[in-house]
Amino acid sequence: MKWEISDKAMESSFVQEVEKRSEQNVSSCYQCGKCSAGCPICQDMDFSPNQILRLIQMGLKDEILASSSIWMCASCQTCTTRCPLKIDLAKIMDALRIISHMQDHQKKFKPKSFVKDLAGRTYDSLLKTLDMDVTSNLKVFAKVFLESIRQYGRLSEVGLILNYNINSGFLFSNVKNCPAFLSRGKLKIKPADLKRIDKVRRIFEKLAELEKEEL
Amino acid sequence: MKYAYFPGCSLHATAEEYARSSVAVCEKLGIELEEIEDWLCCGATPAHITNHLASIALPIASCAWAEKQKLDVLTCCAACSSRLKLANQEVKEDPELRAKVNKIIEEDYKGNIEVHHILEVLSKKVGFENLREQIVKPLNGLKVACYYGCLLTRLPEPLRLDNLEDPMVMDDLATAMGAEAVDWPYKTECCGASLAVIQEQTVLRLANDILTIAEDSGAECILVACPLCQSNLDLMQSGVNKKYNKNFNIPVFYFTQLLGLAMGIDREKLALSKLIVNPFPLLAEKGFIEKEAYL
Ligand code: SF4
Ligand code: SF4
Repeated sequence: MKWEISDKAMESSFVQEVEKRSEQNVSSCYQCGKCSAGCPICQDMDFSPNQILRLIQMGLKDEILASSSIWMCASCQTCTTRCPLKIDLAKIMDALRIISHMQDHQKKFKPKSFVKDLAGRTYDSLLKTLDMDVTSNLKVFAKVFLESIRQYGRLSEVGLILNYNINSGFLFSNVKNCPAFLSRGKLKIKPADLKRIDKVRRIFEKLAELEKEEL
Repeated sequence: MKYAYFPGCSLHATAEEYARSSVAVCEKLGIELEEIEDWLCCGATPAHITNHLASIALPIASCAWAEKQKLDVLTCCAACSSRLKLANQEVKEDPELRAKVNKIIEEDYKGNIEVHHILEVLSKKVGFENLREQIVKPLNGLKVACYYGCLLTRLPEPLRLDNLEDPMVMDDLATAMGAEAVDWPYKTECCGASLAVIQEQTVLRLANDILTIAEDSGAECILVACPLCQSNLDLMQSGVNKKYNKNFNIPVFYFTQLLGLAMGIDREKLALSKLIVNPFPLLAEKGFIEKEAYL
């Protein structure tokens, strides 16, 4: 892997943006690695949490935003509570995801949908494609989850899973768990029906407006 | 004692048994719960990873209702309680943010209420001493591993439930119920939470580690206080067995279900049959229920 490191990148607005959004002092990290040692997801990430911090210090924005680590992070806060310098790394992960999300907005990015070219694909080949694209899957998941709240004020779990599966093309994932749930009457098919749902919609409208202003 | 009750989305669906047993326990203890009218989803992870304001506005919309009733909030879900507490803390400390959020949610929230997880209410407000008096069917001889997971304990200082790395509150509660809480090192390891939907392999790996250590420590069942922990250990258990060639058959109870049992609450109300790994053989073997009850 070859990275170009320059003063310019290190002083770039990216470093400042991460620091501002997360309210953390990124440069203070001295790379002890304790965050990564305790991170439950570390071994499945392409960059470990301390490496992500190092990449931020070097201003390597594109590398970070292309990394699966920021989407794999489970927000468990282990790193945050163990860092000897009290750096809130979980908050930095949030900041990075928000920056990535805003960038997608600017580029009018649509998470990949495989539904259109489903025809003729075997389940296995589909799985392979999707396995490699955690980032896209997580973005789809976040999107359909929030859409469910906008529509119903609450999460419709069945709706979420179906919608996620359709949007990600991961049509058969989780299905094997459904019989166990159904036999115990755990999946509610009917979404919530709130009295003041129009107010919820207005909340989301305002949030969307504010997000646009920020772009 | 009265609280504004925030069930959260999971407790309305896949974690129905947690809701039913919690409500039954509170009822028996004389804790009054008034469900927040039109409560909104806390936004969970999808909100805080994409839009910071949304992750504050959604929980505060529900807190605002509670404030109007002059009630503190009680929630049972570890994930909701973490989001609600963090959002509440942030608007309390930052009047500018509070004004901005109030505008979004069309409310006038002042930040005069607190958010509590049910374990906090039981330990700090009711007190285990008082709780012990309610135990009519002690769970003698049952070895439990109390699993806290990540979100329940890992909060910043003023909001913290217990010690970060070695919480004891659920262990103490288990002891109060007459059970034996085993000492085990994985009580605060993360289960992978909602990664289960997207990255099942990661969750299977974590669940395997947790189940293995629990069993090796002599536990016969696991106690949890979070719907994500519960489903990742219970629903995923057969997947773990398949992937790792194991034979786990460890019931994963919401702590309120066992507490209810020990308090002699009508079993129907504890919804034990909703658990995926069948808990009845273990409960019958220990003599807590009659064998005929589940056959
Ligand atoms: S624990 Fe803190 S100081 Fe150590 S590498 Fe991680 S972020 Fe840096
Ligand atoms: S919050 Fe994310 S980066 Fe930190 S320990 Fe948990 S999974 Fe790892």
